[in-house]
Amino acid sequence: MSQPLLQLHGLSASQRDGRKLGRPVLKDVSLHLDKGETLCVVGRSGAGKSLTALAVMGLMPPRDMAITGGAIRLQGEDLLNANPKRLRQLRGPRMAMVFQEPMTALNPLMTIGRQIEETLAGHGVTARRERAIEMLKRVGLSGAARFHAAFPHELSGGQRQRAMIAMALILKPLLLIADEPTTALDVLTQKQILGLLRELTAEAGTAIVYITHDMGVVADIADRVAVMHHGRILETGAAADVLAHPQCAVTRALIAAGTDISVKPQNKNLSGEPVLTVEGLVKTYEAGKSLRRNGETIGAVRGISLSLRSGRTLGIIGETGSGKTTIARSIMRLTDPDSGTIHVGGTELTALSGLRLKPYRKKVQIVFQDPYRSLNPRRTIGQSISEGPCNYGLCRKTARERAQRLLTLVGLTEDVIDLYPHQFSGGERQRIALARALALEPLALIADEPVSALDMATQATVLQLLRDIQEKTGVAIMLITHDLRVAAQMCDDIALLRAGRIVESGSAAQLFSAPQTAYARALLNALPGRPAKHDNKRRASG
Amino acid sequence: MTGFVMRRIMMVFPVMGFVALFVFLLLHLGPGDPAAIIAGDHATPEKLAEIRAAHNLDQPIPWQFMTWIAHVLHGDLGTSLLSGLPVTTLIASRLEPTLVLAFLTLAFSTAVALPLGALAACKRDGIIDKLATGYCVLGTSVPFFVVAYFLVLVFAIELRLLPVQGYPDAADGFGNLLLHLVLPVATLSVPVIALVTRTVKTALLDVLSEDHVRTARAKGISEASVIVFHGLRNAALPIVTVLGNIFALLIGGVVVTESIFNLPGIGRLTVDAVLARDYPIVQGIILLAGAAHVLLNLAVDLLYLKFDPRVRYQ
Repeated sequence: MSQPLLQLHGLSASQRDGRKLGRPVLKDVSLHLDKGETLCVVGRSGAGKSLTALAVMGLMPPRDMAITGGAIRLQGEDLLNANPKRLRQLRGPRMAMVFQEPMTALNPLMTIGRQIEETLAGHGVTARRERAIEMLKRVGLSGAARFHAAFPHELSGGQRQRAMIAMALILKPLLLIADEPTTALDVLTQKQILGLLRELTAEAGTAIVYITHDMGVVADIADRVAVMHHGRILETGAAADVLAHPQCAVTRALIAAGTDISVKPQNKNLSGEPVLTVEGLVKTYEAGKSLRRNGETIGAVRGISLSLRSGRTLGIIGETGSGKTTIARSIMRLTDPDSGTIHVGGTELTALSGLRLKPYRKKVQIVFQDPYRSLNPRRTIGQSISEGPCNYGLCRKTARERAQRLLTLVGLTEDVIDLYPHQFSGGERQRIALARALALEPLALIADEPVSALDMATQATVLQLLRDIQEKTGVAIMLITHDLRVAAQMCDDIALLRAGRIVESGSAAQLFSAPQTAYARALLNALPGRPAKHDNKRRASG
Repeated sequence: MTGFVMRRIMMVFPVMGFVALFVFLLLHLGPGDPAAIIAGDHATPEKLAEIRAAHNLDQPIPWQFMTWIAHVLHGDLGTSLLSGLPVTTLIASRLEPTLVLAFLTLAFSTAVALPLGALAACKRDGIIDKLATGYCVLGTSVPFFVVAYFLVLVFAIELRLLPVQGYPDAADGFGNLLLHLVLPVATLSVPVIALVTRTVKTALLDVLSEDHVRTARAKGISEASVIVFHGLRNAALPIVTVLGNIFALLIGGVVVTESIFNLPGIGRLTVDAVLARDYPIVQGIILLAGAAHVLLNLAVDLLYLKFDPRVRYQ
């Protein structure tokens, strides 16, 4: 029997605090990977997937984590006992890694070209510029010379991830570890990136450890799967077997969350009056010398009309840069549209400003994407929630009582009111942000990617909460998302956005069952795991 | 980018305007007659009238300000009450020792603090880090005069290695001048090194915890490259900001150190002017310190352009 490329044997690790060992984070993890094979490691956030990857690379944060037992062998070589110099020699030519968030994973102050060439320089390769440009071409960044000189912030998310892949694969490593490389991207870009990874690794015979929480992706790319939960491997096997006959509840839940599009049942509240109407909204930005889209400005809106009815949820779906957030910002009057009208409860807003706008500001409230940054860290959540009502003349005591009531409404308890944001988890913070938005008793709530910063399990609970609140208060919700599954679960109506225009709109049920436009069909087809899901069903029923 | 540079340069004018207004009002905000303040305790009525006429003090205040600004813009800060010499001449003659001292202090401190802070950050909680942290607390809390006299006692009086004080003319031997500057520079460097070391350490620790540093390590490049090209380079902004502020402070005059080592710089001029109630000189020095702060901050902001491409983009 030939020896596997990578072998983890009984790997265990714990958190550490100085010399003291804390909670175990990896428990007896054993895995193996053959040459050219693709292994998907799946699990919820906190399952230990990324830690396992970092342990292989020798990049576990040494101050916070300690490996307590087991072995990692790459081509038989013991990695845990290799000295730092040897590990450096291995990183790059033998093993490489692609990280989740391509914005923060690239050095913002260094050109893409230099960051790629650095890998080559670190391993004594010459003719670096030529090779870097060649590699940029191969990852599909046409006009490679321009990208070579570009800084990360000048690139879109997908382009950054391509650059990242170029960096990781330039020395043709035997092993590539990809840690949720497409989680931050929209489905079409995700599909392209997955295709690119497959193509480039197949050429060089590179084996992949692909970390994801998305069973749809597993169905698309995996040879074998390992399911992790709480630092342990629950089950492992050939991808088709695990997807068809999951052995444990965690796997079944992951499969259900990843591959099913469950459309929300018909909302009976059809007669809801329009609380927010947008007509002919245009907002363009000055075209810079951006590399992202040729000739098009990012996030521009070119003539959008839509209406939001009370008690209903309107989904605004589109890729990054399609103008979703610009619509939200225009409605909130955080930015001034070039033309078009915005009516809230019958009043035209674009002509108003300053104090005359103030009575209408509270009628539309927003929940932002990132719950870690949208709450003021130096204020208690009680202060944050009651600030709005206080600004509109409510006395402090009443506002505080309202804040307490709202905290209960969003599923927290009254007694947390004097805590600070950092004392809460991401999901709890998004609940707090929701309470803050509801404190002004708005007619309409704009939720801008409210769950995309949260893991799957938390996503589900926050979405459920949004539905409950709509049922109780009748608030109209405009849900901005790039995630079709979220849109399907949540929306009654949908407006599909592309490059600042609505390409398709109508009821959610119709869009998901019988999309009218080619773009809508392409989006639905790009959802990972679609064919596998049908296979799965067929097998299950047959 | 040119837009950014232009906007940033234009901001200098209103800020300097406020500094000038403050300096001007210094005489008028205090209680009593500005003429009496200028004239001192033993002024005769004739003397007061003379001063009022000479300084336009009988005119309305806005008009006084306009004339004063016009003079300042022509490089005329008035004349010293004590010596009768133009304030600009007096300040210019004292600028050299202060600038030399400031520059040497900054250069020496940076040369020590940059590697020290970097080592402390890389080997966190190691022996160097602990020593550096201890030093940072000590260095910022011991007053200048204690450090200065201690250094004088040890190196000048006991060991007789260095001169006690003075600022000889550079024409009489550059080496001799440098010898005289060793102790003042060392004195000033004690807190400056502490401050810069701490800034370097925290800034570098912040950067080293970022995701892109992990990416750099995953590439298999040497740890030294990671620290220098991904760590220190990205930590440059806060470090440069602190260095700029320190430089401005040092130019504003280091009163105690210059007094102890008998250096004829801006700091000594300040002390003399304040003790003699020589208001035009005090005004001139405040204006100079204000300008140093504003211009060095401008320089730092323009350096941001060099260090951070994202600033250029906006």
